[in-house]
Amino acid sequence: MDIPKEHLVDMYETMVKIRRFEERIRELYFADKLPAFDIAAGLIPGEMHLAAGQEPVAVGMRPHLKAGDAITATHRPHHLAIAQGVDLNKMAAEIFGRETGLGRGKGGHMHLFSVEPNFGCAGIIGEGIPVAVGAAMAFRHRKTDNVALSYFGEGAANQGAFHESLNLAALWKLPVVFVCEDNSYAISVPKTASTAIADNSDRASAYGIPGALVANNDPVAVYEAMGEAIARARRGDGPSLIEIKTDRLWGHFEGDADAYRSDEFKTAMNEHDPLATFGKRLLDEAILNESDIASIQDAMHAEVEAALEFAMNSPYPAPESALEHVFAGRSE
Amino acid sequence: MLVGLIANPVSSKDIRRLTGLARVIGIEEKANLIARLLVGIGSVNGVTVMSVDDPSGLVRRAVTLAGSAAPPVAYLPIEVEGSESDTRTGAAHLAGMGAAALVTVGGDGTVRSAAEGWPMAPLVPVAAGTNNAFALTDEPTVVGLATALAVTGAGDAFTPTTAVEVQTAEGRALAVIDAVVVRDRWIGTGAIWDPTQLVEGLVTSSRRTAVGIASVSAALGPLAPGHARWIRFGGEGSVRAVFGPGLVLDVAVADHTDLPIGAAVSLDQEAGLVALDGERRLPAKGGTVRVVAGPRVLDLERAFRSL
Repeated sequence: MDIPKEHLVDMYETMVKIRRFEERIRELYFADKLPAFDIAAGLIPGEMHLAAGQEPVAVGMRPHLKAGDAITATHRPHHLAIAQGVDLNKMAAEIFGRETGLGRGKGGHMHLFSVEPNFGCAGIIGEGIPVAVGAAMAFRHRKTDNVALSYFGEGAANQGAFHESLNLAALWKLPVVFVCEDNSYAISVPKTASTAIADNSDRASAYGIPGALVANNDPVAVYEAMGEAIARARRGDGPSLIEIKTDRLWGHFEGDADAYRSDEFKTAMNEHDPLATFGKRLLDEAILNESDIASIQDAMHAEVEAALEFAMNSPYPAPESALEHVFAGRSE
Repeated sequence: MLVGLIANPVSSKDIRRLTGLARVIGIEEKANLIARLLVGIGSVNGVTVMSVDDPSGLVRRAVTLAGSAAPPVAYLPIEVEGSESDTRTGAAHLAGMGAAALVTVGGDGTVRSAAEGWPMAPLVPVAAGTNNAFALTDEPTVVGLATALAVTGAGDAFTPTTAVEVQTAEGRALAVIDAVVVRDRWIGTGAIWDPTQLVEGLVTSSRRTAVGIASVSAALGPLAPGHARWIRFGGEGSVRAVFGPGLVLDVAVADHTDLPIGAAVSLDQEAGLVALDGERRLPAKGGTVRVVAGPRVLDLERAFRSL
């Protein structure tokens, strides 16, 4: 297929932005939690799950989105939120627990909710899958051609909610694309120890919907597969399941000793870093030159720094606001 | 007698499940298919199987399923990466071990990788792919029995084929069905589903029952053994072809000519990729394609005549 140059460049820019954001969050997260790792201490309290290495999964769908499309994600959401265009300042502020954040600082990094673009995530495994089905039902009810994208890991595909969601979406031919990010590990549990079959894309046929496997962590491969799946949903042909083999370069959470993955496994992953690979490919194809690459890095790094500055300079929510936006209809 | 076995756990799962009506052949169905193959092989005394031990445990599942009807199955002591290099490496090892036949379970890409590892392999390609332009689509139990008869019987039940050797700046590669330049500059998912991307290339098959680019060749008429067909796509004329499962398309063809083994063509392309057996693979710039002798393929009827 012919891929417009602007799509290729946009995907690369977004990959650079995601990686820079994850790297800086990682630095700031650890800055004041040591020497004894105190998860509650410092600028970013609580757990942190970063998506370095999984950028292709996010950027490959980006050019196919339209305003109003909905995305549900997981405890590892940053790459998807950034790719969908969630306000980076407000996203950073939410991660830092500040009043200017997406959830007024009360949700944190695993609970990023944006109305426009329509993005939501949560830490309960498999939680977002039926929510995406609900969004798709709403689009059908409102007679729009929007689609819902549901992102989850390979471990979540063993949850009941996954199976219920695929069944209902298939039965009602809803405009939803189910996307399984297979990074081979559910926390520390390898897929071979959790899942009876080798590939979750095989499960699609049990519900009468198409399932495809994207076997390499490549943004162009994801772009092709997601383009077909999203177009299919948008024209009313119903749901599909896309499984993408990707790499989680860092531990499950920040502070994870990651001892359950061998050094050979981690070395091999880093040798196939998708950001470096895609950048080299763009140079080889003369889509970008070295100067372009440098400019993109400068621009994306500056945007990330500006968002982090905004977050760090934002106030914390006042203690007396603790019960605001918690109960419906409560005015005080 | 030793029979080699290489099964591809990821065949029949790519984007063509969305762009046409290609079906998924999941791990369990492949394991069932391999189990039936093993039962066929195991019904003849004196045959052992040496297999690549894929990370999905596909062959092991099949052995369990076949139970006591399976022949003795051992596994190659090689590192497996979970990629197509396992097929090439495995095939090369099996060649070195003097296997009398090499059974592949997968699609045309699996056959191609096996042929790259063992170019003149006595192949038994069992269809578990998307187009299966090269593979045998017969019942695997029958294929297994025929394989065992072929390797234990007298005579030669394998038929020579023609292949395409591709030489580019990235090295040498082999295609067993087709090596075609496409306009795409990106490998992406690898698959081809849009015939307007085809530029020109060599096709070794004109089997009317084949699917994919081979179907385009078939529509242009029969091809003599030991030849491949050079096709230039585009232009005003077209032929109707089964371009993929559930895809009957009119494919524009400008010109074609049949070339014998030994003939070579320079790829006069500044951009684009060479697709090998339907998968986008290598940069086309500066490449050459040559018609060569290919692997041998089991002829089921001849195998049964050796009974």
